Amino acid sequence: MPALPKAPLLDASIVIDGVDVSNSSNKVTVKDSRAKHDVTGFQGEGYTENTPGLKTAEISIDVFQDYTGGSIHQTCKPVYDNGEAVLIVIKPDDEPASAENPALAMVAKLYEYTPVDAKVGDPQSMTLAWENGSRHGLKEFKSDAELEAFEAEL
Amino acid sequence: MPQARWKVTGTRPVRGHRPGKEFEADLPDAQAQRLQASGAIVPAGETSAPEKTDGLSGLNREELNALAADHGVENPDGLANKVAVIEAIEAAKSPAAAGSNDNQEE
Repeated sequence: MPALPKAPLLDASIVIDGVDVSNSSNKVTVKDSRAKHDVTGFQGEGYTENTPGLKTAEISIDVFQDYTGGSIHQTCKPVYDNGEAVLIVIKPDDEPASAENPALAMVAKLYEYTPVDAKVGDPQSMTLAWENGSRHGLKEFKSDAELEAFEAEL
Repeated sequence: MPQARWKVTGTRPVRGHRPGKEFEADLPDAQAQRLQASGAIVPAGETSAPEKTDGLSGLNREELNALAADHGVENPDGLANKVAVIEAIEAAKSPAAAGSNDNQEE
């Protein structure tokens, strides 16, 4: 189904190291920000003047914990323990990547992992906060072929 | 480089393929190792532990862990998946049998 303007996010695709965890997640945030440097000089007109610096990319995924084979814990715990960088791919819709459904990809690392966290009777959940772990930063692909070509280069 | 054939054995789809399905993909070595260690995939059609140990592959994880403990395998609960437990049982029964197809189980 093509993306609709002002539509709720219902069918996001969330893939961690090739493993599709979409159905275990209920929130995803892809954030790209820049440092801001004050370069205000004399003889201006009373305003600060800023210039952009380096960018920071982060992908946060809220997941329900799952200890079954090939799922959340088995996938993320070793990545955290070993400090490895893995490819995270987020799409607004579970359809092939396109201009209207861009694949946002980042080779990322985990700096925190919470294997158990819940009150009695509540489902276990946690936020996986992935930070950029390669020179590539956050990439956007408008076709699956472009994404696969990028993945082959890693 | 020839593509390897894999089978999804975990509870999550891998590279767009549902659990129980086979697929072909030329995975980077590091990723292939991670996915196998987590129980997400196994090489499809390999002569791996489940084929060498007819009967064991039909047991559930609890039964395999109990059998592994009986054979002196330490902490079978901590192994990643059934394949790892079966391999540990085989190694404990007969380390020299790791490369053979003999079935020594009942």
